[in-house]
Amino acid sequence: MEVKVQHTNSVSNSMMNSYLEQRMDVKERKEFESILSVDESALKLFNEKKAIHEFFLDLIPDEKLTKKARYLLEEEIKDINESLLKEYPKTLGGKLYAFLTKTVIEF
Amino acid sequence: MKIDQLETLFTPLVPKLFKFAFGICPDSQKARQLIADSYSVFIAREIDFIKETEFTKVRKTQSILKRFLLHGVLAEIYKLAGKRSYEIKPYLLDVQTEYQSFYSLSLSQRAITVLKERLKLTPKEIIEIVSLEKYQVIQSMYNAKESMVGMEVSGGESATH
Repeated sequence: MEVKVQHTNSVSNSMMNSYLEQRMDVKERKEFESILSVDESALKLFNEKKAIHEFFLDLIPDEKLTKKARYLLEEEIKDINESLLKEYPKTLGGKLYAFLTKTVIEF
Repeated sequence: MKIDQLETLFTPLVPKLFKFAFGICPDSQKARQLIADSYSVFIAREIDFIKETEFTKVRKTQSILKRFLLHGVLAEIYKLAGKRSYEIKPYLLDVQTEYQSFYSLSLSQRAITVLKERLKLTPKEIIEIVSLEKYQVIQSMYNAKESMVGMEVSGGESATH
């Protein structure tokens, strides 16, 4: 089934899209709203399009991390930072520590 | 920049990255793995720049650095997901009915839809992340919407997949 909303003489499809997707600046939004306030058929089509847009938004997942999952991920990030960014002191002891903690693959 | 300073900048970005990764792969553990692996690749590539960059408390500069980190890791997630499509595919077939139409979209359509509607990025930012032409991004946005709404309304198969 094709879901399409036709445009009217005063308001085009792309104008309605721009409004719904918040791509209009304040002045353009006001102009658009003033057209809708006097054009009943444009308002009707816009409301149809708006309902479809809101329906579409509900179909997109908006998953949030649980506290535990966030903790685990942040710990993993810390491990990555430690292994990639850690700088060892340039003393003999530091160099020796860096040497001893390198894996075979890193060589 | 030191490790703790990098973490100060990066940690607040984790929820956004997860939203994106979950849009790519609907499994929490796999999505987290995608983020961690992409972060590794990104840091390994940008290690010199990160080490040389001075950490600052100036808000504007911090926000530029955060954007650099966010966009960089998002782009890596997208690239890595493309390479791991065979691993992700089984999870796409096993999603809740509520999001079936979304997960029947192609990888680029899912990525672009989440970047636009959930992360509220601009088309210009999306183009940078997915490395596609402007017309391809816009086409993807509209095809995704048409396909998802059409599929839900008809209760049938996706037309654009």
